[in-house]
Amino acid sequence: MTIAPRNAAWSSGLSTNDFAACLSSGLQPLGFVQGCSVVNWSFYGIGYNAMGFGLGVSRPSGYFEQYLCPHGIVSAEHRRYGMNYQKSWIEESYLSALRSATERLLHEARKLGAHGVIGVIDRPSYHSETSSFEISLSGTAVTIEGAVAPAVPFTTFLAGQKLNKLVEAGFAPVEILIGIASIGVMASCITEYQLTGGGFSLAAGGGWGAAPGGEIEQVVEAQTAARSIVRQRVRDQLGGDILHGASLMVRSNETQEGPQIEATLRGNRVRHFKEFTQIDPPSPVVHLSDR
Amino acid sequence: MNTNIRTDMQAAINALGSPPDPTQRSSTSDLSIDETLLLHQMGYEPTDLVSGISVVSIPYGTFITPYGQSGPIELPPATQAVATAFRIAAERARHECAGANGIGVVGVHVEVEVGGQSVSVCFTGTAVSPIERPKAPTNQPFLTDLSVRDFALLSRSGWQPVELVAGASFVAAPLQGMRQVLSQAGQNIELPLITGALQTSREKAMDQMQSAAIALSAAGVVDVSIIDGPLGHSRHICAFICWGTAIRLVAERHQPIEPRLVVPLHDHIDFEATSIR
Repeated sequence: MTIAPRNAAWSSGLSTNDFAACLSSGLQPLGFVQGCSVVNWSFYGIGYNAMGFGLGVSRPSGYFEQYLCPHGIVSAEHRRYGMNYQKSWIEESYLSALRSATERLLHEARKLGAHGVIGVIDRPSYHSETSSFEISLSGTAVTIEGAVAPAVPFTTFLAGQKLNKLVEAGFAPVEILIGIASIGVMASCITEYQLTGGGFSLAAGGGWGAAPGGEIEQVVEAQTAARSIVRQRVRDQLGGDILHGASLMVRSNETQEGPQIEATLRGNRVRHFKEFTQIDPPSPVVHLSDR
Repeated sequence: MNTNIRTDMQAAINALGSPPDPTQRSSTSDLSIDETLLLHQMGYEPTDLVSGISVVSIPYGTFITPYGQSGPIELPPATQAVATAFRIAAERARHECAGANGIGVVGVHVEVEVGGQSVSVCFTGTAVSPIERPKAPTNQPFLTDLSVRDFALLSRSGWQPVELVAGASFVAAPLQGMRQVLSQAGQNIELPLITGALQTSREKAMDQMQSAAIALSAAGVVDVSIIDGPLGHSRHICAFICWGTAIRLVAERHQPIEPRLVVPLHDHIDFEATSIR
């Protein structure tokens, strides 16, 4: 294969191995492309109304659960209401940044006449000093000899041998998918006691006793909801395709209010384009290497 | 596979012009393409990414140990909290697996976190099902932390994963008196109380894991992972948590795999660009 003559040398984010694998499969690198977006990132947003939640005055959209105190009026500091709520403003910020970064990446790829972008790397970063969040996408724009240009260039985290194997197995790369779910926990008195070990609660028999043992129901439900929402969000975008090589990351930040949970799911959306080719039974081998 | 990669690549990109096959069911998995191919070769396919989590409270006062004890002090409430968290997280992962029509979950990634007052256990893995669906419903789905490669190797040798089993133990070393502290000062000698606590916690946890495997009629436990050492917030308390996959022989006898010996003809370090996925 020959690289098409150009006025300037092309750039790429490919390793030497991946570059060699690209050439062998008819992919021609056109240039290194990128897109990024910085958005405002605030813990409190429109829809957040801590006082209103408990009184039922206003609710955030999406997942919401309320946990009432079984004790009645104890003191001014006592947590009479607890709730789990979906922080849609955080999710929307993240997704809008992702959409903008993707559009910019694709815009650069289109300008080069690319069929797709391979070896995409996503770099999310939080800037606490400016309360902002940045997402940066980069990859290598490629064209495929003899292929019809798709309406939207494809994107994939894969490159080189991994991409070749994917295609050989009968899957076409469609796009990278990234989803997020952000759940806030405002701990109820019982949850607070379970998490900190302090305080007293109404014991099973109706009397007063130490903080109850067992599962911390409110936190478990928030964790489960975060995982469930992010997976459903990504599944909704698949439309009959497959999410391959998914990576589910969940982080929980402890705050005065309670844990703040963020789940992100990323992977490659791929499409079946030919019958799955069965591989031969693999042969077990022992490598005789020095190390 | 014996295909022309260039033709395949063109066909793949041309296929993006048409919508996905409506008869295909969407699926999600955290498997690599190698693992997907291997799984398919074994007659299975990934169905869905599943998870199960449990966060259990450790009762207040569990880590406060009394003075005047001469031997290791077991802390059953903490041990019980870990066991409960493992059991409930596994039940939830199995429930999600059954919902995805899976017969088991492979490559389970286990996350265990022990805090001052709580312990959390989370399982994440890919539910798999046979390509040729069995007519009769299967038993309860299994969980295994084995990778697809290990799962394939095990199956080929005639073994089958039964379940993910775990054991945990928290043991406090008795607090030393002033005379004992002074007698050890400035000497690089073994600390018998801490050593004893660590030893006791290991024995108890491994015993629990083995008992769990025996209860499942398993022959043994493979791929055991361990978290051990003093707790960050209470350095005199030794924790030992272990988990692994209980396996049983399903063939008449173990099938030797007889690997071929190969000499790689490249330099001893593979080039791997870690920044490129």
